[in-house]
Amino acid sequence: MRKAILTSQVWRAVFRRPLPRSPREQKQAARNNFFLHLHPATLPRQRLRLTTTFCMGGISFLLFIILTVTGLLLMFYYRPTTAFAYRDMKDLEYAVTMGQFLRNLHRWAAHGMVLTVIAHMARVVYARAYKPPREFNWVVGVSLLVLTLFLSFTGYLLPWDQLAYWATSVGTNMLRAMPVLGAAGPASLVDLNTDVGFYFLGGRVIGESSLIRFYVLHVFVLPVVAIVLMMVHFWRVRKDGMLKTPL
Amino acid sequence: MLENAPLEAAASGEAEETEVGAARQGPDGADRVPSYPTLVFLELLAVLAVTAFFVLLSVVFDAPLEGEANSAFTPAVTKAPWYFVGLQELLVYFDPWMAGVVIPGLIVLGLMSLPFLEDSRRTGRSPTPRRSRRFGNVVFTVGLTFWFLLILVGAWFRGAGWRFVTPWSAVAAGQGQNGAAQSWSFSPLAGALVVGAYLLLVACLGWRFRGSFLPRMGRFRYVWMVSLLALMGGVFLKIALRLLWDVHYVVTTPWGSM
Repeated sequence: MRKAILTSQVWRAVFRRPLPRSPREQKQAARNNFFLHLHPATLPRQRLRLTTTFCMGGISFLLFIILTVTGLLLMFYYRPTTAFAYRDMKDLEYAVTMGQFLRNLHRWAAHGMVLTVIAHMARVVYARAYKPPREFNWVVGVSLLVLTLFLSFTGYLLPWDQLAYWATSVGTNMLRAMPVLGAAGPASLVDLNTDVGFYFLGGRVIGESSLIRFYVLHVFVLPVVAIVLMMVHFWRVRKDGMLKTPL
Repeated sequence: MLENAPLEAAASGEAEETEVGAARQGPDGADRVPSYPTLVFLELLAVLAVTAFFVLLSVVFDAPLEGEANSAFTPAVTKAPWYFVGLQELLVYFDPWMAGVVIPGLIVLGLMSLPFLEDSRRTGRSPTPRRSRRFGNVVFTVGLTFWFLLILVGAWFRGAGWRFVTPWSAVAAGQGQNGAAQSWSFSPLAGALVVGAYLLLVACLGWRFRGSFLPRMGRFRYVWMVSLLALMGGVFLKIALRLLWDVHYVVTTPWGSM
């Protein structure tokens, strides 16, 4: 029976080869599998050491995946309107099976991702892993750090509780103070109805339109940009010869 | 030279294509192992460990949720998310356009320009000299430590009205000192003199230490690096002025003050 399945045309169409046994097959495994093809076929043994990278880049990516999955599940229960947002939080807490756990995981993974991305950056600096030819990938990485912060920040408003509301107001007040483009900034060329804060909030103060704007940024715009940049980031890591051997 | 060997091998076209055999002396002298299964299984272990950690965390600790948002009720103290609390803490020392926009913007630009400050077309891929390496490490470590220090102070040592409190004396909240009350600013002339003196000092230091950087970096990159360091030093100085002598503004102009 097992043999019949493993040799059937359907199975072979999906898994072209059996599990690799010989060294040659192992190398082909990394090259021929879509999910593994980011790896080089072989790598120096010393780079397997934990202290080479502390896994910080990989953990950041894992947390991004956890955030995507938990975020997707939360989207089934959350409505980004001032009438429902907070009520849906309470529903997650009391009515939805595992709802509180979902929200916890999303929250802690988000904090964790900010930390691991910063740690990843520090590791790259101390290893001088941004040196040529990796300069561009470093710039992509810094952009991803900024995106991580903005993703986290836009998500902060969504629970629509006092913590969310006032923390966001601290952030957007700073935006209002932007030189030239902010209404409260120096050399301002705009008023409260045309400044950068107005476009961000969809109004003069945080309200209904701010919530939907932050929501769309949080669940679609920023993640899509982050995914594109991540693809470039990983692809370049691979093309630039994977890890730099630490000095 | 050693560090660049695998890199050049990769650049010259897929070094591993030509390899046969599991463990082979790699170009950098290390023995090589196949990614699958060795690396892939280590990654799986890391995934399981990290996932387990966050699942446990989520079982034990609940995400915070306060009362429903109410624009009519301002809490005694409002704090940004922790990663932005450092910027909020900077508000004590700078106006919002500096603390919230200019300083973080320049930090991001400065970070992005790091690789371009270290190598130039003249030296290409040669290893960074030990001295400038140590210099870079010190600057980055000081910056990163300071960033987290600001976050710590903002998160735990600020109470109602952003006054200084200690986390272990919650009773005293609201009685802490508030520098804004008695602060004073330099007159325009004094401010211009102080800023001029600082810029002169920066220029002198830049000239004094040009020897180990300028030939390697070229003029433009060196000036950019000195400007970034001057900004960093300026932030530290302004914080010191505020903490020691309650200086509110060094420079006052109708358009913006700092």
